[in-house]
Amino acid sequence: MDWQPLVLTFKLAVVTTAILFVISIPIANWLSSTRSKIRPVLETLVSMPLVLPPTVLGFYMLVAFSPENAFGSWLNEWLGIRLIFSFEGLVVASVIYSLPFMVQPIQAGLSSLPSTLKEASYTMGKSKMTTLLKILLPNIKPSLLTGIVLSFAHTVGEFGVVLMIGGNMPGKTKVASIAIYDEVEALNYAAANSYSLILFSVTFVILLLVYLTNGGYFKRFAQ
Amino acid sequence: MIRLNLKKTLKSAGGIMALDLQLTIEKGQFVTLFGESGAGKTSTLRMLSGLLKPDSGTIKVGETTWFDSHKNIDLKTQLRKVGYVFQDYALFPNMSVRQNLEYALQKNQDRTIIGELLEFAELGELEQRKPETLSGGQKQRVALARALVQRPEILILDEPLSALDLKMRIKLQEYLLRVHKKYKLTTILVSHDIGEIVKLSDCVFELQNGRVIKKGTAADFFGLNKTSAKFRFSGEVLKIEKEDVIYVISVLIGNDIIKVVSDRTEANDLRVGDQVLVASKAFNPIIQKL
Amino acid sequence: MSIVCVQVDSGEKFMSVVIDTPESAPYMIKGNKVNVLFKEMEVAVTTQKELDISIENRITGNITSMEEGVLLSRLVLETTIGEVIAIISTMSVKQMGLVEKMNVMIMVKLNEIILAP
Repeated sequence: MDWQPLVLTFKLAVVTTAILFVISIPIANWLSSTRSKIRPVLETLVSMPLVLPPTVLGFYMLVAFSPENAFGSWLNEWLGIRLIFSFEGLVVASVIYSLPFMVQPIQAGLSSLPSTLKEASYTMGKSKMTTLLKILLPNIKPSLLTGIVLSFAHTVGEFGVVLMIGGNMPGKTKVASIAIYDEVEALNYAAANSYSLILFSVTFVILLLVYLTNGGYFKRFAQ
Repeated sequence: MIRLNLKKTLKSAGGIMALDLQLTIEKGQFVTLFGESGAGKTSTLRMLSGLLKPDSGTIKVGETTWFDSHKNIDLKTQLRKVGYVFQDYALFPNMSVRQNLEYALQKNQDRTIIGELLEFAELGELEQRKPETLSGGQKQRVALARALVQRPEILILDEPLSALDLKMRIKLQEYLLRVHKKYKLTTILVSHDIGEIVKLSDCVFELQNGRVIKKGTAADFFGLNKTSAKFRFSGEVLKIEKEDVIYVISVLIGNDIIKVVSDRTEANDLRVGDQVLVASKAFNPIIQKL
Repeated sequence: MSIVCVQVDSGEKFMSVVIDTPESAPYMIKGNKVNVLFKEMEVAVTTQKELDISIENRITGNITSMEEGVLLSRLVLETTIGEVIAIISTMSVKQMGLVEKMNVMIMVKLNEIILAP
């Protein structure tokens, strides 16, 4: 069996999750505390990937990143980055595609904290940054974990966006979900089954660990 | 001296209220804001501490201007450094009692104050415990000790004792008074409990619909100075029973229940739950050593 | 400590002993208006007008109504200072033969009078 698609899948998921974690915290923090009028607009944009067919997202990204268009050629000429049919392109697409899976749990976690926690911290002379890092985030660990795992699992399972923007280039953009499709097309059911079983097991184990760690699952059903 | 001149339109469940108040609080005083819920007490405290921005007005503390809408001055909460004890205590769940206090330390501040406060608040044995394992009274003491770490000049107490049982309340009231004197604070309390207010405060402001409608010393405020009677207490009516031609009124004073005989002319005006003044001449009670 | 003499509107005089002095209580100035309070239970009633007894405050009045309980009775009296309520034992009411419209004297010791400025 060719391990490369699996390695690529998990590499993509790890990188995407790491980037998402860093950018989602400020977004979620802003969304949970702002009273700005543009908040609903931003919330909608963040949530769009939940309902939009991945192919729509993939299509527009393909168009935008294509070197034949203004944005794509600017990226290509000035930064030397080609986002279509490349691993970097997959990362960018995955980050956008999985954004709600990271932002929403963190935002919900932050909103559930009583506002007096951060107010108390401010009255002690602590900055917003210190308050976020030392008070808010440590108290929403289950939400952070949920965000990380959902984004990771979602990235592992994505197909449409990858196919649209990354294509099927072995070692570069051929991730496990594409490989499965490929093998099925080639009527190679045994290989498709191996990839599928591994993805299934890994995803199952990860999610199970989250529920065990966050505890809520068993507590709810034990009552 | 703290001078507040605040205007703010507040939206609440009961509709829109225009808060418009002027308050002057002398340095070192223990002041109570009194009034129905929704009168603007908590909003006033939040504006003083910078957690809520007034629509217009000024806040001056000593010689410093904290807020001035005309001069565009609005000192950040972080720089106002008031000790604020929230109604829900707002203890940080991820930190132990000691860590909660340590978090409040300022840059380069002498750490010995942590030990001093833990000892003063009798929290020594609890210092490694997490807030969720503490009782209401213990949480209250942690919140108060934590508010004092940065050595504020102004201490704000938003209904700090309302969630506690009577015994704990009496104990903490004494503790609040000790803290107020020991650290030479200007303390601003929100409370509904007349006994508590009389016991603690030098001065009372009554707020109604966002305005100060009455102020005075605590004893004057509730009319306790209106008789020459020296043997007097305020309390809450617990029970009114008719017996023969008279009425026996049970009154809760502190944690004692006393009984007062009354004629129907007075008893008819009283309801269970009323706050009352009980007074007698200093000549009448007997006193015995226990 | 002071003994204060208060003239009520009808001209009657009341004596009260208080712990305050004119220095400690600003309201204690000659001519200043005060209210006089006393407890219904502390009012004694007598039918003999010339009693040699150490009760300083005495006013005559007519019993306008009477409510007899098992142990205590409530008398409403019409006096020169207005309506006064006296609560005394039913035993005394019986023994003294008190009935409505009777003219009696009510008495209150000076340490029972509270002054309210």
